[in-house]
Order: sequence, then C-alpha cells, then structure tokens
Amino acid sequence: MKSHLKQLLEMLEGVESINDQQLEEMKKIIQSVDKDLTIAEFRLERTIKVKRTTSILLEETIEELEQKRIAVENLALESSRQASLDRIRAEIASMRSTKDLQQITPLIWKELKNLEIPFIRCGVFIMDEEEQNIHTYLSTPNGNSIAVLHLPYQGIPLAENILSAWKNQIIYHEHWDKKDFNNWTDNLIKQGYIQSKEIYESGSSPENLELHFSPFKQGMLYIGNIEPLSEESLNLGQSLAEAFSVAYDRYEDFKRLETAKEKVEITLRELRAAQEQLIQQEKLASLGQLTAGIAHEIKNPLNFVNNFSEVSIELIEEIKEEILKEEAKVANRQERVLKSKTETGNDISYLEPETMPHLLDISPNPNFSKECNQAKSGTGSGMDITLILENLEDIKSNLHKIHEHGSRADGIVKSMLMHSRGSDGILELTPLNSIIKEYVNLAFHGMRAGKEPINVEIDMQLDEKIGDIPMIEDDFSRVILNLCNNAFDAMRSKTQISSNFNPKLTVKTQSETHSVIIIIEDNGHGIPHEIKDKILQPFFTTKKGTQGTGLGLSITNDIVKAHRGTIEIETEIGLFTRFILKLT
Amino acid sequence: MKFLIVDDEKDVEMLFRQKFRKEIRSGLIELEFAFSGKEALEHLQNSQPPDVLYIFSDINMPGMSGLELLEKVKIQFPQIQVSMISAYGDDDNYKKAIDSGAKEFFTKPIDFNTLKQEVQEMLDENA
Repeated sequence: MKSHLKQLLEMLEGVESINDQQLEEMKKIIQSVDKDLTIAEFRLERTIKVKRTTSILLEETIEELEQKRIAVENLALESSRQASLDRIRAEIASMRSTKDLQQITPLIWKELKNLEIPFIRCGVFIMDEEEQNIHTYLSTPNGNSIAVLHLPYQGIPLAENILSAWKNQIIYHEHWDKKDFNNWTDNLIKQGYIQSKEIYESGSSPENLELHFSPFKQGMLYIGNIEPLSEESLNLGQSLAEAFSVAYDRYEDFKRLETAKEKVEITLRELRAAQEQLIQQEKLASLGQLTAGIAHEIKNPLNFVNNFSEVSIELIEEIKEEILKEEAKVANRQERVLKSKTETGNDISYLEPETMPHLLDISPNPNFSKECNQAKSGTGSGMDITLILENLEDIKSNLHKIHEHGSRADGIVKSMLMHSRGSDGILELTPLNSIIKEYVNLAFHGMRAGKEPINVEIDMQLDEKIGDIPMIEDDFSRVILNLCNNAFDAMRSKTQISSNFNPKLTVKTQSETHSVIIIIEDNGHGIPHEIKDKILQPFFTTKKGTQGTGLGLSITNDIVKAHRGTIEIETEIGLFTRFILKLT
Repeated sequence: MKFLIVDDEKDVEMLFRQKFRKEIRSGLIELEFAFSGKEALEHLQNSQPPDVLYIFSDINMPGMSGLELLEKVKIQFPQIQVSMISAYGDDDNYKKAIDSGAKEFFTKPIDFNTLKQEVQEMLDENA
C-alpha cells in the first residue's frame, strides 16, 4: 500500500469518533484506491516503457533512412559523374583534328558544372614531349575557349611547375592574387602567346585564384576557383581527368591511325605515279625509236625540198641576170640611136614603136629587144618584161618560203632525233662557272646577231666555291643556251608591249652541301599558271608558227634529269620567270 | 674529172645536175649517177681503169648498202675516193664509214656549199 494511504489509514484508526464499521469501509475504500493506484502506476510504467522503445525504434529508423538517403544521393552523384565522364569520352572520341580539340574547354566547363565542382576557370594542359611544348586549352570565365596556347617546357615558371608535377603525377596547387594573375596575362601577351587581354580576362581579373592541377597520362586538368577545392571536389576532378585521359588516348590513337593512313595513301599515290611514269617512259622509249625512224625518212624528202628550192632560187637569179643584161644592151643601143637622131634634128617620136623595127635589127636577139621595148611602152602584144620580172621575184620569194619551212621541218626533225637518241656522252668533271659564262655569252651574242635583237642587262652571280662538277658538256651547254634563249624570247615579247622596260637576265650559281643550284631568271612576261606544268612536255610550245618546235624545254628537262638534276620553275605573270636547276 | 653519185632516189640526179650546172657547163666536172650499189660497181667495171675519181654514196639503199659499196670499192679500186652522204649522221655510221676508208661524211639535207668545197679541193689537187 502507498505510504500516503497507509498514513491516512493509521490516522483514521486513531480517530475515536469513527466507528469500526465506518473504519472498515474506509479501509476498504483506501485499499481499493491503493489497488487502483497500483494498477495506474503499472500502466504508466508500461506506457513509459513502450514510449521509450518506440522512441528507440524511431531513432533507428530515422538513422536507417538517413543512410539510405545518403546512399541514394551518392548513387545519383556517381551516375551523374559517370554520365559526365561518358559524355567526355564520347565527345573526345568524335574529335578528329587538332582544331576539334579546341572544343575541349567548353566540354570540361560543362562537365565541371554537372559534377558541381566549384570553379571559375578551367582548362587542359597537354604535354607534348616531342615538341617540348605544353598545348594549353584554357577557358574564359564565361566558358568560351581561348585559342590554344603552345607554351614551351622551359621559361615560364607556372609551366615549369606544372610540368614537374605532371612528371611525378601529383596534384599541383598554387594560389594567385590579382597581381599574380595580371603578371601571368601580361607575360603571355608580351611573349605573343595570346593576343587580347580583354578576351582572356573577359571583364575583370579575379581577386583570388586557387589553381588546381590534376595529373593524367597526357597532361594536367586545370580547375581554378576562388577558394581551395575540397578533397571531394579534387577527387571528382581527378576522375574527370582520368576519364579525359582515356578518351584522349583514343583520340591520339585515332590520329596516329589517320596519319598512318595518310602516309600509306601518299605512298600509294607516289607508287601509282611512279608506275605511270614508268609506263610513260616505256611508251616514250618505243615512241623514241619510232620517231628516230620517221625522222630519218623525213630527212630524205626534206633534202630535196631544201636543195631544189635553193637551186631554183639560183636559177631564177640567173634568168633575171640574163634579162637585165639584155635589157641593158637594148637600152644602150636605143640611147645611141636616140643620140644620133637628135643630132640629125628628128624628134622623139622616132622612138614610137612603129618606127622601131628596122633599128632593132641590129640587136642579136631582135625579138627580145622588141618585146623589151613593147613592155616599156606598154603597148602591143607579147611578153611583158616587168610582169615577168615581178613573177620571177614572186617565185623566188615563194622558193625562199619553201626553203625556210623546209629548214624549219629539218630543225624539228633534228630536235626529235636529239630527243629520241638521248645522249651517249660521258660525264666528265667540268668547271661549271666557266661553262655557264661561255654559253650565256654565246646565247647573248647569238640573240644580238639574230632577228629582232634586244638590249639585255646580264647579271652573273657565280659562286666561286663551285669547282668542277661531272657533266656532259655538249648536252649541258644546250641547257644553258636553251634557257637563255627562252629568257630572251620572253623579254623580247615584253618589250613589245611595255615601253618602259629594261630586260635583265640574272644567272646565279650556288654551292650547297650536297648539290649545286643554277638559277636563270628573266624579268619577262612570266608563265601562266595553267601551263606551268606543261612546258616541260615534248611538243608543247607557246611560240607562234615557225618560232618554236616545242622540244627545247623537253630536251632541257631530259638532259638535266640525265645529270641527276631537277628543274623547278618559279614565275609570276608580268614579272619574272625563274628556272632553278638543282644538280646533286 | 668524173664524179659518181650513188643514191636510190632518182631525183638526186636532177638536183646534182642543177647544183653543179656551172661546173658541168664549163667542163670542170662530169657527173655520173647510179641508183644502187650494184649499178655503181657495174659502172666502175665498164671502163678499165675506171674513169670515175670520186664517189659520193648514200648509205641506206635497198640491196647493197653504201657501207658495203664503200668496202668493195676500197678493195677493188683503192685509188677512188669515196665519201658518204646519209640522213643517219649518228656516231655509229660515221665511225664505220671512216674506219672503212671513207674520205668524208656528209649528212642530209645536203649542204651543197660544203659539197662544192670538197669538189673544188679535189679539182685543185688534180689540177
């Protein structure tokens, strides 16, 4: 029984005014109250217990839920990180050229945002061991990319530090204030790595910049923030860097593959070209034999064409001489007659044709004289001496034409033979400079003595270091002559269009380590681009009609090739043509 | 003085006769023509000793070539001078001709000025 109730009961037992019956009833009531209390107490106790248990359970549940929440959150982060890495891989895998790589920074930018890494600037530094360069892809604070910078391994303190951290594959961290940032920017501008400070800063330079560099295989990932990054962010950054690395590796593999493919293609092209050239050469060789045969056969008829025309000119000359001789005789005789008549007082009418015949009897060739006379007076019938002489002159000039064109054909045939035969000369050590001097002068004097000579300034710049080089002099001299003649022709036609033009031929020799360079340059009209590749082909000529055979440069090319040389042509329309011969 | 010209092209006769008309007219030289090597040899054998002093011969001819003719003439009539006239002026032909005893080697198209000079020299020698 509760102590208070016990007290109450004792107090009641002590009270005398209460009878036993009452006391007994009160006792019962107290006992019942006590019972009720005990029950209530028990209940209360039980409730408290239950409450306590529930609370414990609740706490446990809450804790569990919290853990679950964290797990879910982590999962989401992880998957977003994964997605972000996947995106980087995909994007980089689709990159094909260095130009595409410039899209790296916007990409990194986006993914840093996705990964919720705090930053204000980012970038990628790719180490190029071969070029000893750091290819730097940086972002502006608004996520655009700055054109790629190629920073040298040595010379820029930050670059050197990053490089050394990269070599050890450790994270590198540096703190900059506004001044540091400005120094860096100024330095880059001064050294010409970036053009515009405005673009680089995009508004303002940061007050505080924490630079974090996470290493990966090929370089460093740069994350710049206003305060140092948490460990977690750094880890995220590191995994981003690694994802980037894998993707970049693949990109490089692809690029190597592309390069290799390109090389193979080039080789294949070269092979095809060589093959074609070989076929062409074979064709040319058989064509050459054919040409030689044809050329010889043409020479025989040409012999007749040229010599008959020549002898016919001589014959006409003889006829003309005879006619003129006769004419002179007649004139002489007439003069004598006239003189005697004048002395006897007769007038000139005596010379009229009808009065002539008996006088002409004294001529050994009466008919001829008569005809001469008739021709002079322009009356009567029979031969017209003036007409005959005129026609003879025409025939003569025709024969000259026949001879000229025959000679031209002969020239072509000769060149064809030269072409097909090739040279059987032997390479002998010959002083190049003196050969050049000799034949340039020869070409010049030949041009001066020929048709339409022009004034040409000749500038010879011969390298004294060049001594004797192996050559077939007969052949090589043709090369010099031919190139000089072409130069003279080009300059001549320019003098015909521009009055204020001073033709100049520059001939240079240069000694190189393993070769000798010969340059023959004129300031003539130049070679149009579209025919530049064709001018070395046989029978290609720009010269009109009788002036060229189209074989000169082709033979020149053959000879230079036979001397293990190459011909390169540089030209600009209206300004110059430069033939560069390289003998190795 | 008699010259024999050997060539399978008949027009050669007309050409030579016209080219040397003055020399022929003045009686300085006489020209004979043969149109094959065989004909040339027959001609030489017709008169003993042969009246021809100098032969100009083509090389490429059907039948006996000019070089064969040259060899035969040099054996049978060593006193007769022989010069070759050919369109094939390459070293090979030239060497063969000179080695076989040819006096000169002229190329086609014939340069009659040098040919006339050659004739003149012969005339001077025999004057």
